[in-house]
Amino acid sequence: MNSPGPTAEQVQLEVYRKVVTIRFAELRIREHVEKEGFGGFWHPGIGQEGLQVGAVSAMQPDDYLYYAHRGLGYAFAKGMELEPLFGDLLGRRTGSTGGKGGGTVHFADASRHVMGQGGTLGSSFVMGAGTAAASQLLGDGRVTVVFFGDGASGRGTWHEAALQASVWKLPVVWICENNGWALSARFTEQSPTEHVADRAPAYGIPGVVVDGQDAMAVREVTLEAIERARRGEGPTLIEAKTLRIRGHYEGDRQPYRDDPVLGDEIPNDPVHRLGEGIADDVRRGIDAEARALVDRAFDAALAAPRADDSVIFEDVWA
Amino acid sequence: MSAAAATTDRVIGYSRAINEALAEEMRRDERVWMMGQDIGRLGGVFGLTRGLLDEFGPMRVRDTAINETFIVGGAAGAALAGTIPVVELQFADFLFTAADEIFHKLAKWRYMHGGQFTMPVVVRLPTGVVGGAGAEHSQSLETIAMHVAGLKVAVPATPSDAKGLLKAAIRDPDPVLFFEHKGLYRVKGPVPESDEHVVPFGSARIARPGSDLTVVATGLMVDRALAAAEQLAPQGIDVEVIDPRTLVPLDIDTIVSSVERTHRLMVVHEASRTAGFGAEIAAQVHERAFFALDAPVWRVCGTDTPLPQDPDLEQACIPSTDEIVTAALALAAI
Amino acid sequence: MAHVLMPRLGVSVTEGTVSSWLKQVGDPVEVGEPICEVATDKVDTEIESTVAGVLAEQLYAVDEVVQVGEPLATVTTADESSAPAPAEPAPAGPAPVEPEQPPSIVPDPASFGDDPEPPPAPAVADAAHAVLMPRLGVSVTEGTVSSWLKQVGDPVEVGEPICEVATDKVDTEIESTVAGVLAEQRYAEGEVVQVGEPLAVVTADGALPAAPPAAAPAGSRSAAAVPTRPAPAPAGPTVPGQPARVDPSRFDHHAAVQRALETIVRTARPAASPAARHLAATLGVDLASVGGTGGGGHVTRDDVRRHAEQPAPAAAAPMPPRGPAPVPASTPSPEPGTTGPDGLPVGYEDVPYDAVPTSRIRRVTAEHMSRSRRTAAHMTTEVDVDLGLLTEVRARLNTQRVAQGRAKLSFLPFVARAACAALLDHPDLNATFETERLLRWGEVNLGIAVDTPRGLMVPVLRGAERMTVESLGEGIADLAGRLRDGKPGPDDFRAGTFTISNPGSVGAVSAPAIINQPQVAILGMPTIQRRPWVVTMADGQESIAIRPILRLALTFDHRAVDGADATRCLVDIRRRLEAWGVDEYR
Repeated sequence: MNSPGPTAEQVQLEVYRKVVTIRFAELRIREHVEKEGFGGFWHPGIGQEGLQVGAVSAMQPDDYLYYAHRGLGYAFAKGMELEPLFGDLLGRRTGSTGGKGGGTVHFADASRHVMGQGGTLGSSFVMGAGTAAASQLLGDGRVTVVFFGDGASGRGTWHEAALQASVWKLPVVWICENNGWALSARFTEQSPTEHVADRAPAYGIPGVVVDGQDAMAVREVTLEAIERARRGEGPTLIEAKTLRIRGHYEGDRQPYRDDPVLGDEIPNDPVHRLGEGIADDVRRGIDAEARALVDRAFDAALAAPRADDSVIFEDVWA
Repeated sequence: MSAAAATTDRVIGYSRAINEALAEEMRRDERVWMMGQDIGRLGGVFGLTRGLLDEFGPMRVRDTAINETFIVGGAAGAALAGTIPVVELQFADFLFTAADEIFHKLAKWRYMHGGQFTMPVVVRLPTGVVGGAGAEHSQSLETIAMHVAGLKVAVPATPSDAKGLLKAAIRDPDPVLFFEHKGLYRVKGPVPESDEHVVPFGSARIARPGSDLTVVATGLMVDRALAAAEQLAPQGIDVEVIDPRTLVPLDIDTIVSSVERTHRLMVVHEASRTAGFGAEIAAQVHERAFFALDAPVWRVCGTDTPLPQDPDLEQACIPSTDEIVTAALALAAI
Repeated sequence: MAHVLMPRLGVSVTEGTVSSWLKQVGDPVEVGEPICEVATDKVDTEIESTVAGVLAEQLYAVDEVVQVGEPLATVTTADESSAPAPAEPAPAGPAPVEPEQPPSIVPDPASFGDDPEPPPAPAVADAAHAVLMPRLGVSVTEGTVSSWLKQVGDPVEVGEPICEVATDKVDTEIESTVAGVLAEQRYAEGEVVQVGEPLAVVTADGALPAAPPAAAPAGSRSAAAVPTRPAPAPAGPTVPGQPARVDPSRFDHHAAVQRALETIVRTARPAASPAARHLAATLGVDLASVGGTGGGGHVTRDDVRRHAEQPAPAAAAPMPPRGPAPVPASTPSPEPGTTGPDGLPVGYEDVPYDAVPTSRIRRVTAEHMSRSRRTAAHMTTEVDVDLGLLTEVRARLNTQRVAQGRAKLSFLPFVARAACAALLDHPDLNATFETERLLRWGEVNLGIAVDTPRGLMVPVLRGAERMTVESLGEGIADLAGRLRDGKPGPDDFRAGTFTISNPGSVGAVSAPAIINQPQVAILGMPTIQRRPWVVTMADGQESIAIRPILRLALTFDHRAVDGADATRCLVDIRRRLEAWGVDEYR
């Protein structure tokens, strides 16, 4: 508390560095999937990195993170190294789950409070609320941040969690990444209200809509929500408007999609917006460093041994 | 207090034993807390948590809304953050309303995430027929819990085991589904007066030694099996009754060694016959002790029907002492 | 390809042992031509082929046991051997059609009413299974259907009786060899069916497969020929070949026990619990030789233990391996240390011995005798018969017979004749005792215990009370001859009502015997001895003379008959033998 916090410029540089690193990681993974195939499904998060990094940058190291299934931005921003993340994707022993979590990943880092992910969407609503309840009981001052998509906002678990968390004033922040598509379902066809955040008043909590392509704006609203939670005033629902650039998974030909398929054109690209205020040579330096970091980590993950059958029987019971 | 005094048995009820276990463990470890519907001010619909709100306060004995996914899913999240939640679903049947949380989050979180987390959650599940509670409030679903790896399953049949197993469950790093039989809540029995009365999981209890026929029974069926054994004794059939106490882990060794002595096995359970745990025990005994058998392994079980709400019809759907006797005589005749 | 099945060789015969093969693989065989010899506990007989063609496979080696109804051999029919056909449609002509195929686990496509595609023809052919008229005895070629026990649409299990058939020798129930639903009764009640002909057709769903038209190419079948009637709703449990249905009914423990025990009959294998099997293997006991006292007659651990404890080291010794056995089974074991835990009686370990495997007849006899001893209350009464007069009668008769070129009669037919006559006056001794009732048999079917090289056999002379002493003599000689030649039929051994044992032929001077169940009495005939005998002279004075004396012994079941009644019968036999007149009993 006494040490002066980082300056706004320092924060923006750090957010940029992380966003651009994740961008390179996204591209490297896509290249690999296209060339080598993949033993599962990779749900790309390209174009959504800004809001993920911006929001997580508002968290303290001890705060708890429940990420969503689109990309690696949240975990990398929370401090996880790239190599274990790639290792999970590629089924390597060096993955954070020891090789079990290939495909739609269940990466986790207990030491950094990256809490993992359930395969059934919407389960993090109740789990995150429960984690916040533990913080409330223990008085540890930690806040739990839960990411989810507009699709998962349809789950009943949202209702059960939001109701109880609001009543108990639990320190939890829910961040909806609304990219407009739940696999093939258009958000506008599955929601009676314009925004997911419109549902917040029913639970007596604030609902905030923010431009998800503006990483720093997301950071600001998240900071506010986290502080509110830490003060014991209860949860906040943030809705970050973003876009789904690729298919539901890499390789999805998206025959259902009637809006322009975006390819690599990313409207309002968070990388560009973050880079605007940064000097070209500094930015190029960061870019080169980020690309090298991704390549090194990916190559190391590829070189790591695959998990063998013994993994199957590990960690079923404690 | 001397060691002898610390283990003096008193006679108390099954409900009281559970209440004591909860209170003792919450006193022992501040991380232990509870949530569920009507457990605070009311003390639980079956009165199991009476007095705990007063002693431990509203932060550790929390009433929830009707939201089983939160009760169980929230417990999962709270366990990941270093607490030990002991939650109550008002009826074991409601595990279906929290099925994703039980079978996916509790059972698999540790596994999916490479063993980085433990999941010390106890879900208390009032189970079985209790008299007119109907098809959705009376089931015995322990087999379903056995089928999904990652969970542990306790089925206490006596006040002593209810207390000892619950204390073991709370101290266990794994998620435990704790099936308390509603029909046993008022049953009294000797319970050691000790804060350290912990019954380890995976140790079956020989409730009655015998030489002619092994009967494996759990929960309410243990008493009925014992009553049947008393009726069968004058007819020359000396029944050994084994209560496994936990189904995961299952103490199959005790069952097998009994069958090696008696050469005949019958499994009695209140749950429906088809694919009940009797089938699992029968299969394991055939795998491990085939050449000890004089007869097929027999099952005496609940009917393959939903449970009717009428209390008499309900009883007709689960094994009675008479049916156990009849089946034992049929088995002995082979 | 067709099978020659192990025929039913008697009402109570369930299996036989192949004693030799008369035809080898590659040999041509005709219908009715013997292909092998089979020994049962009742009879040794030749098995005739029911198919013409070339022997393709011997399915059992010599000394192997084959169950009744099982295929013994495979015969390739002439058509097949010249041009091996692929998937065959239902064979035409009289050759039996695969009666023993197990029911298909694939549901008959014809049972799916909404299937727009006609099912392929082979499936239909496979779904039909004929139950053939079995061979009910060596000389039986046909039978008359006396009643149907199963109607079209009824589910039937393997081994379940479907109809009753009467032959000139026996009335019997015909068991299904196929599980499914009865689709057709091929013969009406009262009609005559030849051995080997299909009696009934059983299919998975009870629907008759459409017979493929002779001219139609294989594999084509018009959709119109698919029977469209719905599958019958079976009353009982799941019908094999049909999809399983949910069954929420209450579990019936006693019915389940019955079903379990019925598998003992259905599978026709020596039934024993796993524990008993293990114990038998440990003790070297052949399960087939142990009489079962458990439910359904299955062998229990106690049965095995009792069997092993019988003081018969030979019986307890393991059977020698089947097939070529270069090492003689009778290797002596002179060293005490090498005997091992062979089940030798305690204390006999250092006694040299031969382990001689017991014959099937020996084992059956052992079981039969000990069962009789256990169940019947044996008691023996004896009388001395003065055969002086009969000796003269016999000598005169034999003189005539020799003059006619016929064989001499021994004393046995005379004793038999007197016994038959006496039994008509003492019917309680020609009977079967069943606690609740005594069955007095309306004819005397006389068993004669015969010492043969293979062991004790008791052929039966049917209706002996109607025979003269000469026809009795010839009947006995005929039976003995057939036993010697190994050609008796199964009917030669069944339905005896009274037995004569003749240990006198080998020198015994007294002859108590064990009753031949389910009879109640047996007459023992020792050797005739010339003895000093008090005789009454014509003048009424007593004197001592040398007389041929026969000490007849009547052993009877005291549960059925009292001693006085049995003795009265025996005295009656004596009276008839001592007062024999030339013209009597002819």
